[in-house]
This record gives sequence, C-alpha cells and structure tokens, in this order.
Amino acid sequence: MPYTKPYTYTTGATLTAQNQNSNDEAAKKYVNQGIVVGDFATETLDTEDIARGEFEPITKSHSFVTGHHHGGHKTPRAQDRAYFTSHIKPSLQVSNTYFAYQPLYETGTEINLEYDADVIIDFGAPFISELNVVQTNEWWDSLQFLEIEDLSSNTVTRYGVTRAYSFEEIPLSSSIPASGGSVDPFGGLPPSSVLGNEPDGKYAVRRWIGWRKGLSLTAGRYLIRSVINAKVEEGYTSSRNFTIEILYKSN
Amino acid sequence: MPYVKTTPIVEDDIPTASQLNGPYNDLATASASIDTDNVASGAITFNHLDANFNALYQYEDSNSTNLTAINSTSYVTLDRGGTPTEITFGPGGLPIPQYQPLRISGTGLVTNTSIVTIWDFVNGNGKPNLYAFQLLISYNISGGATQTVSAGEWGYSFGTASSTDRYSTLNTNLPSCSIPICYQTFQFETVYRPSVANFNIEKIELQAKVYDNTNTLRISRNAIHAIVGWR
Repeated sequence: MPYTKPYTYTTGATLTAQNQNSNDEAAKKYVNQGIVVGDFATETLDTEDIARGEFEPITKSHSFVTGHHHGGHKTPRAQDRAYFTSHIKPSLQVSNTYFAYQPLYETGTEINLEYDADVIIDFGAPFISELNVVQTNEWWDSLQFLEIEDLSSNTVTRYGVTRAYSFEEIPLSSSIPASGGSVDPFGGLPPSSVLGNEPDGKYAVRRWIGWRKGLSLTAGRYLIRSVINAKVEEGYTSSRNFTIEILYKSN
Repeated sequence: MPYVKTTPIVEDDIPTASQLNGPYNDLATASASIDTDNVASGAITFNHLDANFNALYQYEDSNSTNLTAINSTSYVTLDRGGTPTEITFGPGGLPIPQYQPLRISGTGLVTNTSIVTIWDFVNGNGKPNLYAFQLLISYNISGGATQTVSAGEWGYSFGTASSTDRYSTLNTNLPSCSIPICYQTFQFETVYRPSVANFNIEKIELQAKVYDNTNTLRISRNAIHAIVGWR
C-alpha cells in the first residue's frame, strides 16, 4: 500500500522533533521495504526490469530468474560420438537378464536446484549399434534409460517412461539370424521378406531415440544422464540433443 | 512516482504547513502508482515474483507392457485397461488467458506392431504404411459446452516402404519389400494459443490411428506433458 504520513503539519502548531521524525521514519521504512505489488501501476514493468540470467559456458547452462536451462548439443562428427560397449561385462555381454548400465558422456549434467522445481528433460539422438565381431549376430537390443542420481541421498533412479532400444545392425544376406534379444526390431515378422533390399535391412534397425520426462524435484543437487545396457561390442551416438528446463515453483 | 518535490527553506524562513506537508503528500500520492521510472534495470529477482507462475501438468505411463492395440482408422485415445492417456484439469477446466502459449507434447515407444498391408501409396489407396498421433484439446468458453480442437498431428511409418512397389525387387512372390520398424520412439511438441477470451481447458488426450485397419499399432510407455507459463 502507498506511503501514509503519520503527522500532518498545521499552521501555528508547534512542531516537535517526534512529529518530524515520525514522518521521516515512515518514509524511510516505505522506500526501503514497504513497497508492495499493489503500489505498481498496471503494466509498468518491462522485461529489462527483471534480473538478467547468467550463462555458464562450461556446463552449457543459463540461469534465469524463474529457473535454469541446460542444453547439450553434439554434431554428427566422429569426434563428438559417445561410445558404449558390452566389454564392461565380459562373460555376459549379450545376456538378456544381466544389466550393467553405463552413462553416455555428454548426455546430461549436474544441476543444482535452489528451490523446489518442475523439471523437464528432453533427449534425442540416433543410436548406432555396430555388428558384433566376437559375439553372435542376433539383432541384439541395448536398453536405454534416463537415470537421475539424487546427490543428497545417493539414490539412483531409472525411469521406465524413457525406455528405448538400440539394435545391432546386421547386413542382410541370404542367411537371416533370429532376434536374440528381449525384443524384436521387426516385431516377429520374418526379415526374410526383405530379401532384395539388403541395404535397407541394416538401416531399418537404426533407431532415433527420443523422450521427454517431467519431474517435480525438491531443492538439491542431481546428476542427470542417459544410460544404456550395451549388448554390442561397439555402439555410439553422435549427434545428440539434451536439454533440461527447470521451472522454479516457489521461493 | 517520478518526482517528490521539496520546497527549499533557507535560514530565517518560517515554513508554512503546506510547505512541510508537501513532500510527504507527494510521496503518499506518487507511491500509489509506482512506474518504470522507479525501477532499476534488473531490479526484479525471483523473490519479487509470485510463486507458481510456471506449471507443469503431465500424465506418464512407464509400463513396459502394451496398451490396448489400435486398429482404428479414426483417432482413438491411448488406453491401458480403461485408463486413458490424458491430462484432466478438474471441473470447469483451467482458465487460460487469451493468446497465452500452452506447450503440449507427447512421447512414447511403439513396440511390436503387426503389419499386413504395408506398401506405400498405390493408385489412390491411401497410405497404409502410416500411423499417426494427435493431441486433442477439450475446452469450454465461459463454462459452456465442451468443444474440441486438434493441437496437431504427427505421422510415422510402419515400415521402410517408400515406393509404389509392393513387392520385392528380386522375389516378387514375397508379400512385401518393406521392413517393419518396431520399437521406435515417438516424440513431438506444439504450442497452442487460445484465440478467444474465457477459454477453459478441460482435457488433453494423446490419440493415435492407423491408415489401414489390417495393421495394428502397439505402444508401451507413453506420456503427455503440458507447460503453462502464467502471465
């Protein structure tokens, strides 16, 4: 509410120090802390009046008044690839029951929430699973998830709503292997029907993996990343897009 | 409140009541309508803002088993045992101011589709190789009857067919040269802005259809998100 002067001067009245001070004190309090939303004229503020955010070039994040935005983008160049390999589980490389998830580098970041927030995480990338050289060739399916680690409790969560698969790319020939993974990239339809389209066969199992995950997180620090249970000896993503939008809810 | 005036009072002057009251009255009047002149650039921080100016609404189904299979050539809402993939906004709907952007997105995983008729466009027979998604908005104006509007459609292919040739180039007796594309993700987002006032959004549904009812679309995990940035 606007300033209200406590004392009104009247001609002929003797002014006391207390009267004078009361008006000045009230004015001081008002201009320091007493201005409220209702004192502002309608539509008086411009966007330039809102504090500017800060860009952090190391983590590729930008802080805004109402939240943060993190963006990670990689080109299709070979040097930008994030590799994954089944070699981290030597005796169980193509197991359908043993899972060892490895993070794909530069597909996430650590975020520090100053306040409770809604968080929206987007990911999109083509995944390439090369032909196994030592292990068998059976259209192996590498399972991918979003994984978040709460650094205050060290709890790790993988979210089923981001489940996706990358399939071993086998060039088609007269000999068509059966699908050996948990899921079949052809949905049970025999790939033998594609004979005559061998070049198509290899790339028909190449998948773009994309998802969006919404979260409501309390203030704190979190590690966010895309992880994969590799069933091929060499696989990678090259061009990747990973963004995190943080919408603070209350202060 | 651009200005608060003061009257200079010099030595031996006897100020009048009006002169003494003046600055305080000016402040009282002007402070009822503070404007841009009184706000420094960058003065407004998060602590000055009302809470909940952004809101995320969502429905997420992380189940790894399939939803109800879809053979319909008209849009049907994704459904898991009677539970549709939708966001509801309560009785009467959520008021969205005119022209306020509403971000809506859908995402999910297509699984083991069944493909019978897969070739691409042939002699005006449509595009049986395709399936499509839609984000459908239900709304009312000033509490009136529920209406619907499509926020957008997004199409995907059952298989790799890309020509009018149904048959394999080498083995013409094979049923199709197209390779099924199963276990592929879908994801899309759009921005919807109500063009009228008193718009109350009641529901957002994620829908899908096929272009030939001999084909079956199956989906497991799926989600829709809506982000409202309050003005």
